[in-house]
Amino acid sequence: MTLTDQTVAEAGVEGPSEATAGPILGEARPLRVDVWRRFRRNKLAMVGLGFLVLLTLLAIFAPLVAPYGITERSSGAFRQGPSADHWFGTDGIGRDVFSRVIFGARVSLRIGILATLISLSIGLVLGAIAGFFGGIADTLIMRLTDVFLAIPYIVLAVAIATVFGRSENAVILILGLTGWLSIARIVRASFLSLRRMEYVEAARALGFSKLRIMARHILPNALQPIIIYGTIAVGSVILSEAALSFVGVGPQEPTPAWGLMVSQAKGSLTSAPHLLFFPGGAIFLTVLSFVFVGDGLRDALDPKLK
Amino acid sequence: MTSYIIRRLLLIVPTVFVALSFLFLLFFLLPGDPARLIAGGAERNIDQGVLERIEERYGLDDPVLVQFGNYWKRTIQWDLGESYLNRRSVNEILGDRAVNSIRLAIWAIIIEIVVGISVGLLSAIRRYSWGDRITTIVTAAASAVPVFVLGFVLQYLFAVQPNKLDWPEWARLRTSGIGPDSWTFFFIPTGEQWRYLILPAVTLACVTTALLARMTRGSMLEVLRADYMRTARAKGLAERDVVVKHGLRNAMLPVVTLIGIDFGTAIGAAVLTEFTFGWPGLGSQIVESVQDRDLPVLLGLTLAVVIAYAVINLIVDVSYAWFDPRIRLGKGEHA
Amino acid sequence: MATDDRVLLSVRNLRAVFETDDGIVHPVDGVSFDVRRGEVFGIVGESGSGKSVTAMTILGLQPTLKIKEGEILWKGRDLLTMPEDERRKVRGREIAMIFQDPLTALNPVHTVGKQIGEMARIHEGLSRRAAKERAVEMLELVGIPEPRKRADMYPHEFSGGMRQRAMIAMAITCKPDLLIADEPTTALDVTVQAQVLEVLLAIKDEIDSAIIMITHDLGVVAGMTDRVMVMYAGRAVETGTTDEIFYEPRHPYTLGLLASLPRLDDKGDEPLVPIVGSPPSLVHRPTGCFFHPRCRFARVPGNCETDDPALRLVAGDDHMAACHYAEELAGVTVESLRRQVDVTLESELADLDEPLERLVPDPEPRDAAGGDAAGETGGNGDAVGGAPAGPPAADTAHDGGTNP
Repeated sequence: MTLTDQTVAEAGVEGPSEATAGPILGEARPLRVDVWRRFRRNKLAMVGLGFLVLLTLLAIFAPLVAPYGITERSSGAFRQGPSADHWFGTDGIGRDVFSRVIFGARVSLRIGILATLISLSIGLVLGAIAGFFGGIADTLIMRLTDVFLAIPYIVLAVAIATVFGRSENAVILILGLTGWLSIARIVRASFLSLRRMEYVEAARALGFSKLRIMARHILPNALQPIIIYGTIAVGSVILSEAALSFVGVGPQEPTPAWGLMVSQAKGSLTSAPHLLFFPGGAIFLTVLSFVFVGDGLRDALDPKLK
Repeated sequence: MTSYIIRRLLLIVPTVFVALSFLFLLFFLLPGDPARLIAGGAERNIDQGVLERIEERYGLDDPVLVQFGNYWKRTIQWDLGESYLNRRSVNEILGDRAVNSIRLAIWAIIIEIVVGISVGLLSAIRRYSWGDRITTIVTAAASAVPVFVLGFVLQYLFAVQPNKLDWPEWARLRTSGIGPDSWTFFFIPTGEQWRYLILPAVTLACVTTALLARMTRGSMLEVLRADYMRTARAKGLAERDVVVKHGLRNAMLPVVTLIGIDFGTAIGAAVLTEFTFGWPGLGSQIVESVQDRDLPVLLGLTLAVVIAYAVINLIVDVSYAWFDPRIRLGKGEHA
Repeated sequence: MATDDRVLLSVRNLRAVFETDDGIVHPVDGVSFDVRRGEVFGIVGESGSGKSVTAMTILGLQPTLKIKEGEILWKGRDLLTMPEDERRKVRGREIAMIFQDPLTALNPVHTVGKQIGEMARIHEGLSRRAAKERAVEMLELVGIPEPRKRADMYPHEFSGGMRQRAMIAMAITCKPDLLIADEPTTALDVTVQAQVLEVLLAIKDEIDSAIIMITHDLGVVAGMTDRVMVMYAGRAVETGTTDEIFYEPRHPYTLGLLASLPRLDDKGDEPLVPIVGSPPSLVHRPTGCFFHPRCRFARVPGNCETDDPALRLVAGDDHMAACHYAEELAGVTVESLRRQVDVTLESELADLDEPLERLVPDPEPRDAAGGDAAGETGGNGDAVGGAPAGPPAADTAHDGGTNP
């Protein structure tokens, strides 16, 4: 490994690396059934998956599940602790925290999934170009990622957020536009190693177009690390969204963003800690579930990595 | 080696230039009139003449490119300008804030290395033990908890609760601010200082500690299977020496690389931690400057952080060569 | 035998298992042997025959292995019941090991000199500087040019042969009574192999130690060892002096190994005879004699299939074999086996149950297989200068066995 080529090491942090992905690629891909069987044996991953399924259902059916609306105020019940009426208590202006946390799942999942899709698309295209064509394109794209990696992520996100406004969609765009760096590097590493594989050489010798070779012959084999990384990325995007909300550049009131709710709990830590624990716990459990599922997927897709 | 370092240092220049230019232009698009800010606030009704004088003095009415050129002309001479908000020189703010950030960072790094690496090592050596299983879950959890949520939870448990439950004075920690700001040997807290330091330091260290522990564990598991470990045992070394003298350095190779890469995340964590605890470091100042649209301060501080980031990565690379004699800096390396 | 005061190491009925997901593996299943002062003891077998595991067990380097029974007497004391910190003092100082692949067996992040000197630092409490001096001395002893400069270099800066010399230098630093060499030349170029073996033999005389030579290379065995144990599926199937094993093999497996070995004096008209089939699974082992499914002489149906043959004295005072019909193999030589197979080559692939009676004892003097192989390997060091002669490619014994 040369020192500048730290992509590999980086990929190793968040997902599979070029080095470990190498041996798998030559083999027959494990059957879907096999992957599921191995995944199911991982208890933590199953718990994580269960939580995510539950959360998704809650988000979809939020209006049916939540006892109150997100702006509905109970008169006189400010900063009350959990009770039969308000399972998670009420906030500073008398809104039901439980209902807001449930509706908050919509915000977090939407932002997490959409932003990840945007970063995956950008990262995939740029990484594929860099890895497949090499040369000038590669240098330019890698320099670009260097520049953006040099700016601390949070500064970049906060700066863009300040300019582009503070709506939910702006946050999706910001996180999507800043999150592709690692993905591009992972995809590039995969493509770099795959384009030298014999079957790719063969496809080239047969005169297939470059686009077809990339899409049909390389991409399917590079998917594995992308899937794993993508899963974990949803979790980290949700974390970043919460951080943006916390420093005040995320979705604004009355959007029930979890990060925003935590930041509003800041002042009442002594009198109403539940305002911190419930939305904070929701972020924590959601992100943790994505991590567990991502880890489980990695082990299931590639038992050798364990 | 020296030529490698020089080459790497030169490479930092274009990266910093492009990054800072990007931020400069981005902030130029920021809504809000800096002249009003300088004059005392966006909301106040300010005399048009005053605003014009301010704009002229700061060159705010010049075309973007002229301002951009001027910015770089000054920056190259390390003239970072002064705050729009309170006219303090950015260099001065930078100096004050950096000292606080560095003190916090030193303690976080100590915790990260001591706890992260030893937990990872123990976990690898006692693989599949209860301790290992708990470590696996706790480290995953630590990487999933938002820094500020962790900060608040720690504040609640160790500062709010002890006061509520009337714990003995020595067990009560402080929730925010830097406190008496009393130090010896630059970074060792004296007197009451530790009560203010400990919670932000732990919070800041948390994510990276977990990551280090996970990486060390994985890497050590690989190393424990290596042939040279068997050789070391065959020599008659005690198991502890086998692990420490022959395993540790090999296991640290991938971890060292990680520390450099993770520095970006660590800066993010520092920003949030300082903001959460009201610790007057670079991170909290950056957030405040963004909120106040105090462009010179923001750009100046970011410049410092970007340079620090690049230099730390360089140090990591160089130390990597020390850790692994197979790496020869500057050879077979094309960037 | 244990009373023989020349016996250094006495392994008694060693039985060890690995527990895996697929079942219990028996890599070492009731193995006994003695190693005497100053001798070279060879352990031969295919991979998976348990030879390496046996060696690792002597040093206690197999943490996942469970010792079921047996003892490993080192100078009369049982290593298996010895407290760990005493056993550690035996490791390296009294029994040292030379590993197969010197690139992976040497630590990449320490200099060669440091790794060699470490041995003296642990066992003799030398200072850093004295240890370094010792390392230089040792490197010189194994014939590495410019030892002082080399001591400060890292393993990756050494060539394969030099690495293995460094490995040997490390092993002999404390002048151990016993050196265990596990496939010491397998990872090396053919030309370098002979040099390394020569160094090893020269060192043995220099420091007066015994050697256990573990290998699948019969050429190495023939050229170096005094006595040999042939292992198959975790058992010793035949033991004896090197001459006995090569000239008067009394186990069909040994015979098969020899017959599958090409020799330099082959005129090209003698066929190589592979051992058919593959080594047995160590989890689900065959009934009766473990070798019977692959044995040319097996009587099936018969006691080969049902009774497990014990290792017993078959000739001389130390020649033992584990075959029900060892005596009947007395006259069978590699040549007769080859000739026989040649005649029946067409039918033999179809009909593996060759009746033992049809193999007629050969009256010719037995000077072929072992003798030439030994001579060849011995002379190999001189053959470096580009002569095409390599040691007998006994690898084919292994390959022929696993890939019929």
